Amino acid sequence: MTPLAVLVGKALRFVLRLRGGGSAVPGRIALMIQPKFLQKTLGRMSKGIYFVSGSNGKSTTTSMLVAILRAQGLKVLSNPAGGNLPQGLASALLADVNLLGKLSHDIAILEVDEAFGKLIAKKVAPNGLLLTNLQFDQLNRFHSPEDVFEYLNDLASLTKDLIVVNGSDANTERLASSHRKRLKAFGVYASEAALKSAAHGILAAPNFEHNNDQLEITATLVEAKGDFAKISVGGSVVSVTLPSPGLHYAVDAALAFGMANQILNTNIDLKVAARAISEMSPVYGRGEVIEHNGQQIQLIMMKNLPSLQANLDALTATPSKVWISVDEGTPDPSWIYDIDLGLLGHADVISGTKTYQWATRLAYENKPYGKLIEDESEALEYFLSLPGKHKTAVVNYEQMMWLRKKLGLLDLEGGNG
Amino acid sequence: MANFSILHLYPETLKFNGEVGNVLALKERATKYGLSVTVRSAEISQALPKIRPSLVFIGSGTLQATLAAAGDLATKESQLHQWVAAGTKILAVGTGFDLIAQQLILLDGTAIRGLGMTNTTHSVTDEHLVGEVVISKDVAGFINTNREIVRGDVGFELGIVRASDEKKLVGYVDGYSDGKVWATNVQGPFLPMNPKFADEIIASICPNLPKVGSLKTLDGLAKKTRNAISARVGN
Repeated sequence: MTPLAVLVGKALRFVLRLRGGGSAVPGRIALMIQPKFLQKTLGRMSKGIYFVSGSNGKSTTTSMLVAILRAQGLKVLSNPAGGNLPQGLASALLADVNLLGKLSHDIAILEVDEAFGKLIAKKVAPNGLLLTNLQFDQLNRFHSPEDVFEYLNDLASLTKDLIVVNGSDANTERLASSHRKRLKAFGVYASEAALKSAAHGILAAPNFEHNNDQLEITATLVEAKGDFAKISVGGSVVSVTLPSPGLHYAVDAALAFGMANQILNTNIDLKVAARAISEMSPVYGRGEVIEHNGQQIQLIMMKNLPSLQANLDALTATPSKVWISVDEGTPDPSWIYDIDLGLLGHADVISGTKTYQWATRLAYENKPYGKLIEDESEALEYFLSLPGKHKTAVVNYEQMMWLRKKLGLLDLEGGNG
Repeated sequence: MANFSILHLYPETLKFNGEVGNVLALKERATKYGLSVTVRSAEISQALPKIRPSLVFIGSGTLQATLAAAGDLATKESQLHQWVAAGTKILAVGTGFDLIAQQLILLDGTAIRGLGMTNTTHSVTDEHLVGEVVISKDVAGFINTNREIVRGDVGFELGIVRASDEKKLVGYVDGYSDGKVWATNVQGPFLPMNPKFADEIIASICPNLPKVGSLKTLDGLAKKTRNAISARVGN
């Protein structure tokens, strides 16, 4: 059954990509033909399977961990950001498997969705789990971070050997502590100085449970400033240039170092690892700057409150030309009232179905806004016509995808290249 | 210049989904009405201010946050009731509504006593109802709740959902309003989107509000927000 699933899946993937689309459909079909597709393909990794999950930073941390491990000589399989549901993962695997469903990689580093991760884990239990954080995210879907804690806890319960978490996040620290009897548990901590480098710190969800147990440290974020980070691993300190500025990216890097340190049994070459991260481009849409007809458009993602706040905290100057665009991918943007707008002093144009919600927010804050154009295409045209070469687009995930495509960037998240 | 003072209870603990927008709306609108506005806050374990506020606002939180606030609220209960008797108004949004109700019953049957300022009893259920809602021509928003609410003989409801993208929310009886206390499960920035309630609350404290031209822009944006919701949910 596996060769048939691969053949049909690969053919579908080829056709869909010719049409300019990348999707989970090939993976879904492959799983229908061979329900054990994930087990058959992933189950043969000599150095195991590792999951990365959490509210925010999954994609960036996964990419950083992959970069580090590849730089250390491992052949790493990953699911490019976004393909973190079973069908998406299967789609990503179709790019790499041969017709017999075999992979030639040493290790799999997979980003998994908080809620659906356990569906993948039930099929292929991970050797290790890396948790980035627990933050407020998608309340319309998850309802509460306390529910997400339980999802992540389920994921940890299905993990075989190792858990590494953001120790500065009290919830993930507590979660890892509770699995210490069964798993090797490590924390990645940020120093007080690093935490203070961003106006709102790491934006973790509140924790109301008691936890006295600090985890054994596998890495420490010693310093964070702009796109510079100093990370300590096993007593040695290394400087890292981040793909984008911000404490959140510095924490992601420290998490990647911490996990790599454990996967490599503490035989990590820190300089090689630092170089690997320093050579990374921003991960799809995260802090990305799009070049378009001589204009540089910086993308600020508003996936949820912590992501927008972290990105706004990382600003060092007031953006001169600002476009805000949010659509139904964010069904309830009420949380924009919890955002400290900081250096975001105005908007030149607001678009998308949530145009007036954003405009109301800015108006109550006495921040000026320019044109309100619900139609995104018209708004983009106006935005591009504004004078100036350096512009800023505050967009939700769906608008980020739309904008990239509109500006001719046809690579797709999760599209595996 | 008349005074309008807001006490925001538990602004950090009960900070779930933009509830602070209600304080912002009250503050901005009251200022534009020519009132002298002050905003104070009290967190868990912090003492209440000595001066009676015009309005106490309580926001929303996770269940654990709400339970933590409930524990602290018991120590403030007597003072809050004295204030209400003396004319202080109450606005509660989301799980703040649980805290001022008769009681909140958890899934395991544990009953958490509320302030008893409404005639409602709330129960946590397994089912979350999530969706945009239209309650009337000038009231709309987003509900995300897993509470069942049982009311006393007199409803005092704030409104009934007449359209939503979640069919189970149609007919949902929301909130509480008796002229002293306002509560709603339309979460987050309820007042910025529905400024008639902001004005109703401010006027209950400082009657005869003047007409203020500068509010037209805010009210126009809120109306367009509600219209957009209405168009989406088909009402």
